[in-house]
Amino acid sequence: MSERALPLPRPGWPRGGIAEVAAFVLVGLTVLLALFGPAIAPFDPLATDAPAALQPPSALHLFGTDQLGRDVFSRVIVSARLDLGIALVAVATTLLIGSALGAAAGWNGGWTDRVVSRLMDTIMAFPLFVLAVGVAAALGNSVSSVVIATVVVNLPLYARQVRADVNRRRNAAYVEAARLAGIGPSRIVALHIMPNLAPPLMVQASLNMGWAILNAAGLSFLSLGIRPPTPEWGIMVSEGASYIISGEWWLFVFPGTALFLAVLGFSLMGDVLRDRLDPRRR
Amino acid sequence: MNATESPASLVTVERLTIRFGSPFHPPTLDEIDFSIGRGEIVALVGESGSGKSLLAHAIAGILTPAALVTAQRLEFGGVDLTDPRAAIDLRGREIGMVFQNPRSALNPVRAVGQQIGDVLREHRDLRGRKCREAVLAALAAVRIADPQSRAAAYPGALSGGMCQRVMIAMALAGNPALLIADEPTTGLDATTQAAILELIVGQARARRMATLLITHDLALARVYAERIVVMHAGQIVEVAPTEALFRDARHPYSSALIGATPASAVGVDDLKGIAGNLPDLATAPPCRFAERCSRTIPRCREERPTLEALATGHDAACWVPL
Amino acid sequence: MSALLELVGLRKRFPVGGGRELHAVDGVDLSLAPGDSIGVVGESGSGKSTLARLIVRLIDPNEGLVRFEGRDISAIAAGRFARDPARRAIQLVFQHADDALNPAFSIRRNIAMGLGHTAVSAEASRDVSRIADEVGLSSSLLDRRPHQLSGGQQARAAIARALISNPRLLVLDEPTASLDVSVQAMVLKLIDRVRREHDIGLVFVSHDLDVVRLMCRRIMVLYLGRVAEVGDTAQVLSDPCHPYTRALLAATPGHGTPVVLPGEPASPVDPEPNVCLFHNRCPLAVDRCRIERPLLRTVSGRQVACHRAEETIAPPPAINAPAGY
Repeated sequence: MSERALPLPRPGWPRGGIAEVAAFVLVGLTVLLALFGPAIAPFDPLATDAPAALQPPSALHLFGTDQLGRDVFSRVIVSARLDLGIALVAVATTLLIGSALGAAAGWNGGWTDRVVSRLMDTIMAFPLFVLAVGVAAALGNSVSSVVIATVVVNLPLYARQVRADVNRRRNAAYVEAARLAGIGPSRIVALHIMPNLAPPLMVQASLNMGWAILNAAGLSFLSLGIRPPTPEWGIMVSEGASYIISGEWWLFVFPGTALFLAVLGFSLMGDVLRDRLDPRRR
Repeated sequence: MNATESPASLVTVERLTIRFGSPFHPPTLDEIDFSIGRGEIVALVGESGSGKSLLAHAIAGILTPAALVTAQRLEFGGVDLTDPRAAIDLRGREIGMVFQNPRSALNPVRAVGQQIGDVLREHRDLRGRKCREAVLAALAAVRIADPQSRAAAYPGALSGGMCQRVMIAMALAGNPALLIADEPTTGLDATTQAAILELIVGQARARRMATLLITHDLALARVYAERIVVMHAGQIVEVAPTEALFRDARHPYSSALIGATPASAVGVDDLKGIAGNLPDLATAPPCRFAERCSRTIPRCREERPTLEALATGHDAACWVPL
Repeated sequence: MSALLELVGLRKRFPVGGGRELHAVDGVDLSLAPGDSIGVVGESGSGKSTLARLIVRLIDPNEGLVRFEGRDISAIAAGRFARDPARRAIQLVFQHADDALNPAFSIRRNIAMGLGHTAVSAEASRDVSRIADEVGLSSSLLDRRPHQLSGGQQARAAIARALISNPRLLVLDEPTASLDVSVQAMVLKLIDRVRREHDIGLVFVSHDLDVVRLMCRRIMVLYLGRVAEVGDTAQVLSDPCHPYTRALLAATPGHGTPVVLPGEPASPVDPEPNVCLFHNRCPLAVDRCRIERPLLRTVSGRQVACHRAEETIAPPPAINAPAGY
């Protein structure tokens, strides 16, 4: 990135400064690519063109071509949809299931709490990749295995946070007041307590998105889940790695950078949300 | 010269102003004139936001460095309290302080005997066996039964009332000339409260020690204080001997406060609320009670009323006193 | 006319580990007529807060009955009571109004919640405006969040929420303890007005005898979960019979020379059933107090649980003499 004098913060300038701007820009870009990537890709990402293989970046092929003559630029921007999609589905699912488990444990205590907590402890004992390999072995090597593995491994993150928060609020006067009004426990937890937990959960989810994208890419890097020729950042980095020595750097630098920027964007977004949603500042 | 000041003043405060943020922020304490005589028991009464705790902290010298303090005089026994070294020397020895919420004011990981011992070692230079004996004596003086075993106890094992007694013991250990008690019994049961206040006042009389009792409870001030200072929004509004205040309150806020106290009311209908809320200091008129007062005249919004002597020892800051 | 509220032999124990139990409420009887008011006073550990929660059925008693308008509501578990038609007829006002309002909801939604809804329909909104008006809460505050309101405004909002369902019994757990005295005055007057206008029965839990003196026709004094004395407020406070009531009154500023009670309260964990729990601090304790629990009996127009009640009662004073100065 070129060095340029940045404008001074002025009224209206985002509180978080350059980091906040970067967060919105990067996340926005990723989302746009996910939505419109396939439509704006100049070339068919799967179309091979052997004579044009391994060409460096040029006006025609912005990011060069890969070993089968496919346009790297098109492949990079089309991957956004897949990686983001997997991450989104995984995070949304784990958020829902994890919160539900955590809320049940936090509200009911007793056996529910013990079972859920031990389950979460067990999950946390497994590294992601070990778990993913296990799931892939059990369910077959597919995209859904990647999603399931990501969901499972991130459950404790939400379950523990929600469990602690629900438990703490269970005795708050406003929860007792809801009980006095005759509102049932599931409605109290879902409609009265959860809105108070929404800000920290959103922060968690955003940070988690970054990790989920990285997980998906990492698993496909190891040939789990997504298989070639599907364009996906992890696979592209994996395949491109073998070409480092021969000097065709564009095969892994561009997908790698795209991956890095997407993950960075969501991580920064997590910080932005945390600052913005801090109840003391509203 | 303030009518309440006398040559025997232990603490003299003249035009004390405290601000936070910048020299242009509205003052949290607004030109306070105040004094405590030797051996006198004075109550500082006010609601939240009155600045009473801040004033006490200023006298004790434990203000946060963020506080911007200006004063014509802020003296203890002739010593200038704005000099940090002098203040440190006085604190704990000549000035003892007892806080609200005793359990949180004590160190939870040190035995109470050790904490009293700290004060004795620091300010009375006692060591070893002499110190231990003094600790036990201090605990007995605050009527803690079985001082031997209590000295080894940790604050968490003691009741709120006991913790407060320990804190009083620590405050008295240096044999101070002034004891500042900042809401010492808020949160304690009535029977415990009575015991603690009897203890404080008993010690004060026995040692001829001045006491500054800070409280929001007028009924309590009435029982234990010789003189009452009423504060509102960082300003002193009235100073009077106790019974004179209750018989004949001259400032509308004092009168309203008395009218709002359940102890003084015969029925619910006697209770009087006070209109409005604490003013926003940035936009408040010179008399900060003006917007809530039923007797406001134009002068109240132009010029700040000064504390005037309306009777012997009885001052009020009001352009239209009752 | 049946009593609005009846408590019979109410007991509540909490396990504290090692098989031991803390007896928070240890045999309490109470009767309240519709529109009447009773103050429950005691110090920390007296069980008054637990009693309040038993009455409003947030927790279940271990033994004893809670009868509301003649119907035994203690047989229904606290969890299932939510669906009972009597649920919204019994409400509680909490000590800390700021904690009693959901920080994620607007004031309007918080108050409407008292009707049992989470969403606010047009009809509910009208009810909210009506009740907000009645408690003196400005309508401009209805769309704000709780943390944007002052302490007094929060107190009004919490009371509005308790009243919107037109309860017939209102339990107040130290509703003004954390408020400035001028704000407290306003809130007490509001509660009193509401009680008179809607003929609501009040159970007012407080540590402050003067507040109870002003607000309640009857008074019940609790000590370590047991009733020490119960009767007409004016009578009990002008001439207390139980030694603990006397000590409590004397400890209240302005009610005579404070008498300092020696010792500490007995432990509420597994207390001995056959003693008077006050005997270790009582100036009148005799041998009988150590071997027999005194039962509530009528002495001089009120009920006292003290073996020596007849000896301590002074000649009957004028009933209307105000306590205090």
